[in-house]
Amino acid sequence: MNSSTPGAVRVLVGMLGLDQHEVGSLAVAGMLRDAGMEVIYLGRFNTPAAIVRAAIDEDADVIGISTHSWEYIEYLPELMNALSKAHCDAAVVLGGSVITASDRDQLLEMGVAAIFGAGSASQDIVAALRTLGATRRAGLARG
Amino acid sequence: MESLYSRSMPPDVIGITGSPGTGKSTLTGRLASEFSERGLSVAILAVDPSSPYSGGALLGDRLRMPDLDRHDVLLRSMATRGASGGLARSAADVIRILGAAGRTLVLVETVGIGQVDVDVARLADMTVVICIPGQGDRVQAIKAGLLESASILVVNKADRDGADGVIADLQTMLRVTAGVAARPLLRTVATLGTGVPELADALLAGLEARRAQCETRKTLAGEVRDLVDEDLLQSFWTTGGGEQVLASLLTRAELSTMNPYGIYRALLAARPLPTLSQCSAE
Ligand SMILES: Nc1nc2c(ncn2[C@@H]2O[C@H](COP(=O)(O)OP(=O)(O)O)[C@@H](O)[C@H]2O)c(=O)[nH]1
Ligand SMILES: [Mg+2]
Repeated sequence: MNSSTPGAVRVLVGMLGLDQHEVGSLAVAGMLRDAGMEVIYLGRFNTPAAIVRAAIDEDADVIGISTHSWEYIEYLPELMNALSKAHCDAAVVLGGSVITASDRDQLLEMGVAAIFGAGSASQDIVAALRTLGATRRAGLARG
Repeated sequence: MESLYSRSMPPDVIGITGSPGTGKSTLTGRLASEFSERGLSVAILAVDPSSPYSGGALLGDRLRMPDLDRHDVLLRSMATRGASGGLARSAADVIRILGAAGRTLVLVETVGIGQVDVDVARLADMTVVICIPGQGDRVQAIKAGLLESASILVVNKADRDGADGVIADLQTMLRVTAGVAARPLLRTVATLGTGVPELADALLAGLEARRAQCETRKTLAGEVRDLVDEDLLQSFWTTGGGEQVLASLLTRAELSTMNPYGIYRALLAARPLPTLSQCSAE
């Protein structure tokens, strides 16, 4: 469905698995809204399948996963697989405090578009998401 | 967009409205699951306000509807983007697209504030207005004008103290407001699903009644058209003297040069087509 205006980037924000720490993802959601994006907030306890479903229903440009537990190591590959199986072209972005340097490389290899550690500046996150959103929209416009 | 309008049946639309925090999302999710279990193909359109400062939006309704995956309910969130008239337009388009995607019933959750709501509610075949206990002044439980736009009134959070008071107030308001006495008034506990099957029943009955009314309207229109046709024919051929003119034209025309179009034009020149005001319907 392309009922959205090209202007507003649509971003899913949510957490996978049993990760409890919601403060970070709520803060990011507010920050993205204040940067003019439309944030579809999914909260805690999502399965990869539910995220894929939401991304398709909502025509999301970007899927932002917030993680503060080690579970992402298990869930991210599952999410990336499910997305490609569903032909969903939303860009996946991971943010959180626990991502190690070696995991980082592996995740990027897997197709994760960007990773933000605990110290990331909010304007960098916003700029990256804007670029990802614009890139996807341009792709859609070309068909 | 236009081609969609000609290709697919519009879905039935149920609007769900009420002040923020009354449980619209929770109830909408429950209703969607209930309808889906009854075999209907359901979608939800959840409308939330855009931030007037940044133009961005936090669309949090999905969070309150964790059950949708199990029931194949499609949920689309939408921001008001500041434009009230424009929102109604694009909401109508999204509803149409959902219909073209095979969804026969669309539940629209609206923000519950202001003009945007009234605009979106106009798209709905049935509108549910939600009130809850504990909103301070009991009589304030429902805003002026909302009563009239409701097809069904729901007191949600009926597990809370004060639900009976709100019900009593609403009953009084229904009694004293012209034209709304027959509105169903139901109580629900959306978090538990209590009262949801009854609400679904009432909504389906309402949609059915509307359809029947629509059919009646179509039948009536057809009958009136028949009357007009008959009247026009009568006024042309008989009372208007068309038959006589035709007969005289036929005696004058050379049989070999007779052409129906030519005679038709001559007939019209002699006998102008009757207008409806000349007809003498009884
Ligand atoms: N006690 C009680 N809480 C409810 C009920 N329905 C919804 N809630 C809660 O009310 C809050 C707001 O619900 P939500 O569906 O987001 O309301 P909305 O803003 O109108 O969409 C949530 O915390 C719900 O869990 C109910 O029937 N009883
Ligand atoms: Mg809501």
